[in-house]
Amino acid sequence: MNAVIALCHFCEVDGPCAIFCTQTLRDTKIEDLLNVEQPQQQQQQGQKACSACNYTLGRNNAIYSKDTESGATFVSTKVAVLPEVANLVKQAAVRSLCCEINPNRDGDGGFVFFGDSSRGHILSHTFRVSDLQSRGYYQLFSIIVLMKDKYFLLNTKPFLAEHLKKVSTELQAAAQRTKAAEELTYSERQRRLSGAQFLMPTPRSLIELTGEEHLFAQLHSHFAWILLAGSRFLTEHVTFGNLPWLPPQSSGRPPAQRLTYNSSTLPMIQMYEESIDNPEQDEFFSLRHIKMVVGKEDFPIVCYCALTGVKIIVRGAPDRTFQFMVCLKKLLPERMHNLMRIDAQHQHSISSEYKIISVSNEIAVPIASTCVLRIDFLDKHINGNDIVSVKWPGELPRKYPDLMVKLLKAVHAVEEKTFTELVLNKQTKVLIEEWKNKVICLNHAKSGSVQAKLKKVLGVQPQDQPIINYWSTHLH
Amino acid sequence: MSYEHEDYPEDPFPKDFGYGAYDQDGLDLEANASNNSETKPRILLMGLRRSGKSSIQKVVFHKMSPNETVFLESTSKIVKDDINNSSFVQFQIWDFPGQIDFIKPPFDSDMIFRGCGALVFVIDAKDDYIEALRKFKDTVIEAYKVNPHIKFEVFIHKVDGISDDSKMESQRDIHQRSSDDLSEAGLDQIHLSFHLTSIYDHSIFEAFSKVVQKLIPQLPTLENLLNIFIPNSGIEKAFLFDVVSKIYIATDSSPVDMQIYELCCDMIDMVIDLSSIYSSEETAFDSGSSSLIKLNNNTILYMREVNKFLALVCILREENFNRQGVIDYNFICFRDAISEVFELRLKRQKQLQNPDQDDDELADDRGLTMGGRLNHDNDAAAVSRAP
Repeated sequence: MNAVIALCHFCEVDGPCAIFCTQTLRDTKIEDLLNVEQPQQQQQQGQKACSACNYTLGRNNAIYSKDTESGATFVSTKVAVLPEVANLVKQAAVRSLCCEINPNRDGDGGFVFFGDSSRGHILSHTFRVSDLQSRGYYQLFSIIVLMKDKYFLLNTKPFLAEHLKKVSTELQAAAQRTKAAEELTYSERQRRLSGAQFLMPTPRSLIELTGEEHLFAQLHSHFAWILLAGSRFLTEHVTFGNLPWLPPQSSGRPPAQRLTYNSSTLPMIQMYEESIDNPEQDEFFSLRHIKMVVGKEDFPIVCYCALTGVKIIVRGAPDRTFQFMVCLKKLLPERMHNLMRIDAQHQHSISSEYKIISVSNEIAVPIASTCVLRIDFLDKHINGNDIVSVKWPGELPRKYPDLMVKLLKAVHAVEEKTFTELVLNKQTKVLIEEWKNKVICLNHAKSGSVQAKLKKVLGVQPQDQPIINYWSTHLH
Repeated sequence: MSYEHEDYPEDPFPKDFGYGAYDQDGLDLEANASNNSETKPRILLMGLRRSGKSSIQKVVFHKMSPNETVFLESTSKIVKDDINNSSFVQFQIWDFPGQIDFIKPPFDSDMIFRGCGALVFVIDAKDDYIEALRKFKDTVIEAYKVNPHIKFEVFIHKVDGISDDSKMESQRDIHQRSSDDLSEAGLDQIHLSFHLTSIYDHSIFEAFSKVVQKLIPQLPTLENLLNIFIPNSGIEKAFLFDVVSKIYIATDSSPVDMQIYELCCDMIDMVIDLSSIYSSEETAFDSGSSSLIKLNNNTILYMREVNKFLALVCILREENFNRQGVIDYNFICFRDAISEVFELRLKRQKQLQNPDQDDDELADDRGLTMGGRLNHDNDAAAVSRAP
C-alpha cells in the first residue's frame, strides 16, 4: 500500500506536528536516503526541543522492516524520509489536529476523511490520551493515513478504521493505567485548586504517558503490518485490449472476481470461492446438513427465516459455520446471493443490508428479535457434531408457504432414503428456480388486478406472500 | 424626522430590533442568516499559549467561574463562538491556539483578518513578554496589511497579584516596546490600546466593554444620549449594560470608576440571580425588571430594563432621587431614543444592498435625531421641574 501512516500530536509547546511516520519504500534504497536524511533531521531537532516531540528511538534514528516476498521496506522515522512527503505529512498533521475534527465526537475516536489531489487524501483518526500533568488532563493525538489514491483509501477505510482504532485504544488503555497509578500518589486537582503557582511541566512524551519503553517499536510493527496487509487487501486487475470487461450478468459475485483476496488476510473468502468453483464438493452439502445441525424442531424456523428475509446471524468459528452457510445459500436464488456475507470481518456488516451473515465469535451481534434470527455455534461437541442454539422470538405461520412445504418434504424424503442428497440438491434448485420465475413474472405485472389474476394462474396462495414480498424487491 | 409621541406604538421596539437581524421570536432567522454572518463583526483572541485567551472567553461570555479556568484544556483548533442569540451585542469571537503561527502559510491570513473588527492580543504579564511582543508585532503588520480598519487591543493579562507599581511599569514598558517595533516597521499610524486585565476581578469585563464599544457604530449617539439624560435627571453616572455578558456598551463621558462599575455589575448579577429564583430562567429579565439599592453613603443604585438585552444602571445621590418621576420620564424618553437609533440601524442594514447611501449622510441623520431628542428632553425636564 503506497501510503504514509503517521502519528501526530498537539504539543503544548510547539503546536501540532507529526512525531512518528511509517512509509513503504519499494524502489528507493535505504542507503540512498541516509545521506539525504541527516541534515534534515538535524534541522528539525534544532527547531523542536521538547521531549514530547522528540521521541527517542535509542541511538537509531529509524526503524525499518522488510517484506521478503514483495521486497518492500517499511521505514519509520520522525520525519518522513522524502522531503516532499514530509511536507505533505506536516500539513496533514496540522489539519487533522486543528481543523478537521469530528464535532460529534469532540476529537475523540472519530474518523475524518479530507484532502485533495494536490495535498493527498487523508484519513484521520483523532483521539485523546490521558495525561495528569497536561492542561485539561489529556493530550490530543491523531493517526493519519495519507494516500494519493482517494478511492483506494475510501475502499480500505473499514479495514484501516478497525485497526487504527485498535492501536489508539491500546495507547489510551496504557495511559489510563499510568494515570491511575499517578493518581494514587498525589491529586493534581487539589494542587491546582489550592492555587499554588505550579511550575509548568514540560510536556511528556508518549513513552512516559504509556509507560511502554518500546512503544515506538510497537507502533512501527503495527503501522508496517497495516501497510502490508492493506496492500494485500485488494488489488485491481488491468484489462488490456479494446473490449471493456463486462461482468457476467447472472453471476452473483462479479466484484469478487475482480478482487484478489490474500490467503493470509481473508482465508475464509478464498475457501468459500474455491468451494463454489468445485461443483463436486457441492453434493455433500445439502439442506439435510442444516437439519442435522439445528435439529428437527428448529429446521422449519431456519428455512422460513431464510426464505422470507428475516436476518440470520450465524456466529461461531469460521471453519465450523462455513458449511452451514453454503447450505443456507441454496435457499436463495442465485441473483440474491449477494445478500449473504460469509465471515464478515466488521461489525458494520451486520447492520448493513446483508440478510444472512456469519461472523466469528469475537464480533458483537444484536440480540435475537422478530427480525433477527440468531444461530450460535456453541463450543461443545457431541460425538463430533456441532451443538447450536437457535434463537428467534417470532412465530411461524400456521400454514407454511408452498415452497417451504415442498422443501421440507424433499428433505424428509432423503431421510427416508427415497432419494439421495444429490437429488435433493437438484430438487432444491428446481424449486427455488420455479419460485424465482414466479416472482419475476409477478414483478412484471403492473396493476393490482393483473397481479391478482397472475397469482391465481401461478397458484400463489396468501401464505406465499412473505416470500414474494422479500424476493420481488431483490429480483428486478 | 418628526417627534410626535403619538406616532409611536405602545411597545416602542420593533420585532426585529437589534444589532444584527436577530428575531426575538427566533422565527425569521433563516432569512437573515446569510446577511447576519457577513455583517457581524469579528473579534480575534490571539497571543502566546497559556496567556489566558480561552479563559477570557469562557469567563466573559460563558459565565465560567475564574477558579475553574485552571482546568481548561489547551485549545487545539480555532474556536468560533457566536455571541448572538443570547445577547444584544452581536459578534463572533475566534479563539486561536497560541501554538500555531496563523499568519504564515498554509494559513490564509486574508481569510482570518478580513471582516475582522478587533484583534485582542493577550500578553501574560507574569511571563517574560519579549517573545509575545515579537509575535504581536508580526501579527499586527500582517493584519494591517490585509485590513487596515482592524482595532488593535492589547490585554496585559493576569495582573492580579501584581503590585500597582509593577503593573504600571509593565504597561509602560510594553507600550514603549511595541510602539518602537511598529515605528521601526514604518507603521506609526497604527493605534494600539492597552488594558490591564484579570479574570479574577471586573477588569476583564471593563476591557472587553471598551473593545466591543469600538465595534458599535452608534456609540457616539448612545454616549450623547446618556450625556443628555444624566444631568437632566440628577444622575452621577450611568451605564448601558448588555445584561448577559455584563459588558457595558456605552456610558456617559465622565470617567469610569472601576468601583462603581463593579457595583453596577454586581447589581445586575444580583437582580438576575434573585429573579431566577422566583421566576423561570427565560423570564429572569423582562420589561418589568427594575431594581433600586440604597447604599449607606447616601447614594442610590437604580437599574431599569431598556430592552430584552440591555439595562440602564445609574448611580445617584439620595436627595436627587426625590424627583423619581422626572427620572422615570426621562428614562422613557431615553429608551425611545435608543429604539429609534436601532430602527435607523435596521434601515441602514437594508440599504447595505445599495451602497449609494453615504456613510456620513447617515451619521448626520443620526446627529439630527439626537438634536431633536435633546431639545425634547430638555423641555420635558424643564416642565417637570417647574412646579
